Amino acid sequence: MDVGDGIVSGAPGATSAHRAVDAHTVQLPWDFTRTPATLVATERYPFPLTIPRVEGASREATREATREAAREAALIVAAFAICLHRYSGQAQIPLDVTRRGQARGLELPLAGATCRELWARAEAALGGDARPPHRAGAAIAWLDRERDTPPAADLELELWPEGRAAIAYNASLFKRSTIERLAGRLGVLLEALGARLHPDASAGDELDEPVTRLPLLAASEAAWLDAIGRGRRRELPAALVHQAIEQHAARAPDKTAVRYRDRALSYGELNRRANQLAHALAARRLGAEARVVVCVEPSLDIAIALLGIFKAGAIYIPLDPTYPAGRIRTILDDTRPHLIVSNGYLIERLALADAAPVLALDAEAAALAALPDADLGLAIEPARTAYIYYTSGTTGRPKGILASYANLVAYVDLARDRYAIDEREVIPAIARFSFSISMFELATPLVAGGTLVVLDRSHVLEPARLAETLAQVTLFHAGPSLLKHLLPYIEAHYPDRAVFAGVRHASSGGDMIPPELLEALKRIFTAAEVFVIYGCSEISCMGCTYPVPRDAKIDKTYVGRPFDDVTVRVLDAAGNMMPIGAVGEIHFAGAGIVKGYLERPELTAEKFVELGGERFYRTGDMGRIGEDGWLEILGRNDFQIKIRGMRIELGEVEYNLRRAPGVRDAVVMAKPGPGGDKIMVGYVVFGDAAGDPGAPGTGTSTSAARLAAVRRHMVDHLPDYMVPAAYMELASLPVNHNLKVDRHALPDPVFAAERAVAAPHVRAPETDTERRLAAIWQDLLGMPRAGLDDNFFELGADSLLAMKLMVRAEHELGVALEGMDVLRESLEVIAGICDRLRGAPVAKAAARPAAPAGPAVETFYFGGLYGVLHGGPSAPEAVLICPPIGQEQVRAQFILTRVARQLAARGTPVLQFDYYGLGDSAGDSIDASPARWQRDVAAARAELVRRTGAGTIIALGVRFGATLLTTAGIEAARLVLWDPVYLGADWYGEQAALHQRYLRGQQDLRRGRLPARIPGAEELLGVTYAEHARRELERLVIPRTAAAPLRWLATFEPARQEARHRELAVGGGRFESLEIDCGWRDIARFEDIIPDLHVARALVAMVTEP
Amino acid sequence: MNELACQFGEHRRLAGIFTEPQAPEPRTACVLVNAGLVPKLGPFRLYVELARRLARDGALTLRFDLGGIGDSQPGLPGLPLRERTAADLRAAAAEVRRRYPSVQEVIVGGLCSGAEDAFRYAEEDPGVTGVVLIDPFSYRTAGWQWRYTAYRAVRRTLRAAGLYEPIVAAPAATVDGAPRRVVSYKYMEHPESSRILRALIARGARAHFIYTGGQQSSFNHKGQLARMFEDIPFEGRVTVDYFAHMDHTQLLDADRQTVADAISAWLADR
Repeated sequence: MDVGDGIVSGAPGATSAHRAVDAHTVQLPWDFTRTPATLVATERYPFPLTIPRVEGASREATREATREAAREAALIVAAFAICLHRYSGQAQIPLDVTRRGQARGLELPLAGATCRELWARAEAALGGDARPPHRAGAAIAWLDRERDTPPAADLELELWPEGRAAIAYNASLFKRSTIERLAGRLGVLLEALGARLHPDASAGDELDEPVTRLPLLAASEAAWLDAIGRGRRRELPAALVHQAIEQHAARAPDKTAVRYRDRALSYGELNRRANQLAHALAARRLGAEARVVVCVEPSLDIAIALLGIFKAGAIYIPLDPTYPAGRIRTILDDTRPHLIVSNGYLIERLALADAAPVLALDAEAAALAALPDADLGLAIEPARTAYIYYTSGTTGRPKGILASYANLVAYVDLARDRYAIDEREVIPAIARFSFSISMFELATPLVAGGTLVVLDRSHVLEPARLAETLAQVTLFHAGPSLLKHLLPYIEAHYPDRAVFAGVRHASSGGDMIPPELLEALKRIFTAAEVFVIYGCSEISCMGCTYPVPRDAKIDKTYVGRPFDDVTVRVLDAAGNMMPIGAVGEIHFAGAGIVKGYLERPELTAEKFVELGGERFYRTGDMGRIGEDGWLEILGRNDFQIKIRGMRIELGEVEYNLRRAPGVRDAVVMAKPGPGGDKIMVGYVVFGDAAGDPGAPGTGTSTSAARLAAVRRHMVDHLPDYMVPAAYMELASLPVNHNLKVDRHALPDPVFAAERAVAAPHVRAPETDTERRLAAIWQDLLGMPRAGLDDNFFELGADSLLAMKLMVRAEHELGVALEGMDVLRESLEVIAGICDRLRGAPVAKAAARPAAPAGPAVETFYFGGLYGVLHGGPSAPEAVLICPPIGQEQVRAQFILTRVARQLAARGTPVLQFDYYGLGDSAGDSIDASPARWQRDVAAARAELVRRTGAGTIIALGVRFGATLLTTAGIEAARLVLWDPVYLGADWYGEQAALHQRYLRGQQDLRRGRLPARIPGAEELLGVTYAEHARRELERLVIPRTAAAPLRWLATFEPARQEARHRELAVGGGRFESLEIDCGWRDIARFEDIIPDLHVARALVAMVTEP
Repeated sequence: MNELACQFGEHRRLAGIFTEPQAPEPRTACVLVNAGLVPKLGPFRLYVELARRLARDGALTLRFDLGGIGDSQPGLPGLPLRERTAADLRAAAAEVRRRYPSVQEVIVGGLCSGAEDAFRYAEEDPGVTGVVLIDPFSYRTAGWQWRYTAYRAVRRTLRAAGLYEPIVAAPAATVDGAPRRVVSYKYMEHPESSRILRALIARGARAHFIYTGGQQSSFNHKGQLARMFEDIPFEGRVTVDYFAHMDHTQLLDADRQTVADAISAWLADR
C-alpha cells in the first residue's frame, strides 16, 4: 500500500524541536513504509552527473592542486547532503562514504551552514580519521566498476569512472519516479554549487550564502508546482454579500430565506428586519469600522443580525453565549465593542450591559419594528473590516482575525462557484457561530438565494435529530468530530439510504479527516459529491478542496487543489518551494487572505509574509504535493493542536494553567489517550513542589485535591474543548541541553489523582462486558480506570459524551442503552443491562447479589421533618445540607444527593432534610414560614449531632436554604453556600414573575380561567405562602457578618454574587464561580433536574478542602 | 393520617413513604411511581397531596423512589431499565403486603412515565386490581386532528392579543451537561398498551385515565380514549377524566386537588 508517510519536514527550524529524530538515521523520501517483511530489491537508476571543476573550498586548498580529486569528492558529498537536508529538514546529515575501498561514517552539520563551510567540513571529514559507517540509510560510493551486489544502504549514490553515476535503491521502499527526481535535483544542486565555485565566478560572496539558498528544483518541476498550486484566476462579483441578498429579496421576496424550528423568514421579511436593525445601527452612528458583537443562541436572529450589520457597513463579531464568563470578558475587553446585539435573558445572564451598550432584539422588537425597512444603500468600501472571528491564541488570550468585505465576497463566492450552489439549496448551519466556517453555512445559502436552516446545539449533537434534518437538506458541511458520532448512528438506523437522496453535497474539514469517515459519507449519501474542504479563518476558510472519488479507496489525508483565485505553496523555512512529494509548511495567497490580527502587528507580520510579490499566510500545517497534484496534510509544525476538530494553541492553555492556584510552572501536551485519540494533558509544578521526580503523579490525596482545584480553575477559565483531560503533578519540568522544556521527556499521563475526587476505592471490572464498557468509558473520558461503582456523569461526562457512549455501546456491544440508564446507573448496572439486552447469560448477578453501591442510607422522620442520613453512624465531623425551597429543591436534589453520597463515601456523614410543609415533610406550605424553617435548620443540626456524635458540623446551604442557614443562628465550623439568595424580597419577586410567566405559557389551555386565589395567601410555583410568611421572607437578608468561615459557589450571576461575597466574607472566605447555567430563572427548565456534576464536585471540594 | 419512612428491597436500597389512613387495617393500597426523575413527592408535591387525600378516604399509599432516583440507590445489575423498574415495583408491592396484610386491593399509578411503569407492572401482578394513569400514552385520531386545528387557531389569537406567550426552552441551555435530550422519554406504543389494557380488563381489573391539556399534542377529548382503543370493549372497567385547562404537571394547587378528587371519586365508585 502506498502510504507515503516517510517524508518528514522540509522546515528545519520549525519542526526539529518536536520530532523525535534519531541523529544517526536519515529521513529519506520513502514512498513505502518499511515493515519487518520488507524485502531488499535493489534497482539502479543510472544518470549522467556533471561534476563542476572547482577552485577549492578554502584559500589554502586552492594552492594544493594535488587535492583536486578530494575537493571534488567533498563537493559531491556536500551536494548530496544538501539534497537530503532539504528533503528531510534534519540539521545533521549522517552519510556513509566509500572511497578507495574504505567505508567511513560522516556527520555533516547543515543548520545555518554556508556553501563554503559545508564544503570545508566535507573535505575535512573525508580527509580526517576514519570512523565506522553509520548504516544510516544513505551512502555515497566511488567504485572502479559497476557493481551488481546490493549496496549497504537503502539509497546509495554510486559514482563510476568516466563521470557516470547511478542511484542504487531498494525498490521496496522507493518509487523509480522519486529516485529520478532525486537524481535531477542532485544535478541542479551540483550545477548551482559549481557556478559558485568556478574560478571565473564573479560573485565569490555567493559561497558564503546559506545552503538553503541553493535552488533544488529543476525549472520544469518548479513550473509544474507553480501551476498546480495556483487556482484559476477569476473576477469576483462586484456586489457585496448583503447586496446579493437584497437582490434576492427584490426578485423573490416570498421565497423562504431562513428556517428555525417551525419558524421561517422569507427573503422579503429577512431583508426588512435586517434593514430595521441596520437603521437602528445607523441611528447610533455605527457604520464603517464600528464593532458590533452578536451574542445570540441559534435562532432567526442570527441571520437578521448578520445581514443588518453588513448593511450598516459595521463589523460583525460573533460571541458564543455558552463560553465561560472569563473568556467572554476577555473577548469583550479585546474587542471593546460599540454595541452588543443580543437578547434580554442573555444580556442579564452574561452581564453584557457592563461591557458595552446593548441592543436586545427581543425586548426592543417593537422599537425595531417601527424603524424604516427600506435598504440603506450605503456605499461600503470593500477593504473595510466586515467581521472578526476569535481563535485560540498563543499568549494566553484569544486572537481576533480581521476580515474585510472583499474577503467575505471571496469566501462566499469561491465556495458558491466551486460547489455550484444555487437557489435550490437547503443548507443547515451546523457549526457554532463563533467558528469562521459558520460563515460558509450562514452566508452562502443566502447569497445563492437558497434556504438556510438554523439548528440548536442540542439538535446538532443529537444524532437522531440531525439525521432527520440531513434527510431534508441538499448540502451540508460537518467537522470530523461530529461525523464520528453521527455517521455510525445513521449507518445503524437508516438501512434505506434513499432518504438522503436529496443531499447532493456533503463536505467535511477543519481537522485531519480519517479516510474511513469519507468512505462512510460516500456509503450513506449515495447521491452526493463528497468533498474535503481545507482552510482556516486567516484565509477565509476556502483554501483547497478535494473531491473524494466515488470509485477509489482513500488512504491519504488529501485536501485537494486550491479554489479559484487561491494560491497554495509548500515551502521550507527559507521560503523555498518543496519538491514534489517532500513535506513543507503550507502557505496560502489569494483574495481570501484576511487583513490580519486585531491589534497584534507583530503576530500579523509573522504569519502574513510577502513572497514573490504576493501576500501569503503561513498556516503552520505541514503538507506535501504529490505527483498527482493533490495537496496532502500531515500535521502541525508548532504548538497548535487540534482536538475534536477544535484548533487549540497550547500556549493559551498553558497560560491559564500557570495561573491556577498554587501552580508555579506548567506545560500542556497532546498525548494519546487510553483509546488512542489525542487528549490534552496538563503538567504542573506546584509552588512548594517537593515530590519525587522519579514517581511523578503518584498522587497523595493532597495532590489529588490540588489537581482537582487546578482542573476547576481551568473549567472556570476556558471553553470545555480547551480544558486538559488529564493532569499530572511533576517535581520539575524536564529540560533539554538548551535549558528549554523538553516536551518529549514528559511522562505519559497517570490518572490516579483524578480518581480520588470521585471515589476512594475503585472496584475493577470483572466480566467481559464490564471490561469492554469500562474501556469505552475510559476512552471517552480520557481516564485510565473506570470502576464498577462509577457513574458516567459523575466522572465528568456531558450529554455529547453520553450520546457517544450510547452509539458506541450499540456498535461495540450491540445494545441500545437508554439515556436514563446512563444518567442514573453505575458501570456495573449498565454492563448487566447490556448482557441482558444481548441475551447473554447474566452469570454475575446470580453469582453475587447486588451490593448497594454506596455508603449506608437511613431515612426517617424527626419532629415531622423527613430526613436522610448518608453514611455514619459515628464520625467526628458531619455535614448538614439545607436545601432550597419549592421547585428549586426538586431541581437541585440530584446534585445534592450525589454530594451527600460522595462525602459519605469519604467517611463524612451527611444529613439531608426537608423543611416543614415542603418536600416529604409533614404539613402544608401555607402553614409554614421562614421562622419555622429556621427552627427546622436548628432541629436538623441537633438530629445530625444526635445520630452521628459529630463534634464539628459543616453546613451547606443552597439558594433560599443558604439564607435560612445563615440566619438560623446555628453553630457551624464552616458555611458553604451555593447561589445563596441574598435578599429575600428579590427572590420572592423573581418567583412571582416566574409564576406569572408560567401561567402566561398556559393561557392556551386556561384562556383566562384561573382558579380563585387562596385568601390571605399567595401561591407561587407550587408553594403557598401565607401573608405573614411572605412578609418574613421578604425581610430576610444574609447577615453582614458571617457566623463562620464562608465559602461561596456561584453558578448564577457570578459577578453580582462575588461582590456580595466580598461584603460578607469577613476574614476572607473563598469565592468560586462555575460557568454553568443552572437556569434558576429559566422558566423553560423549571421542571428539569440540574444534572451538572461539576457543581457536585465543586461543592464536595468546598466542604472537604481545608 | 400518619406518614412513615421506610426502606425495602434487597439491601434496603429503596426508600419510600407510607401514608396510613386513620383507621387501622386498610383494605386498599395505592402505590405511586416516580414521574420521570422527580422524586417521590411528585411534581409540585402532587403525590404528597394525593396520598394524604387517599388516606382521608381510608386508603393506604406508598410513594417511593425507583432505584437511582431521589433517595433510592441503584441496584440490580444485569437488568435493563424496564425490568429493574418492574423489580422495584415488585419489591414495593411486596412491602405493602408484608406490612399491611389487611390489604386486598393494590392500585398502582402515577404521572407520565410513572403511569406507564405502573401500567406495565399491573400486567404482571395479578394482585393489582386497578391502575390510575395520569397523562400516559395517547394516540392521535381523526377527531384529534380537527380539534387540534381549532386549538391552534385559538392559540394564535391569544398570542396575537398578547395573552399567551409560549414557554420556549433556550436552546443552548440544554446542551452542555443537561441530559434533557439524552433522556428523551418515549411513550408506550399502541400494540403494547392495547395488549396490557386487554389483559387487565380480561382479569377484571379497573383502569382510570386522567388526561390534562398538557397532552394537547396527542389527546384533546374525553371521548378520544375509546377511539384510541376501538377494538377493545371497555366493559365498564375503563374510565377517563379529561381536564383540558390543566397543565401536565399541575402547577396550581386547585388543579392538583381536582386530580386528587377525581381519583378519590374513582376509588369510591366500586
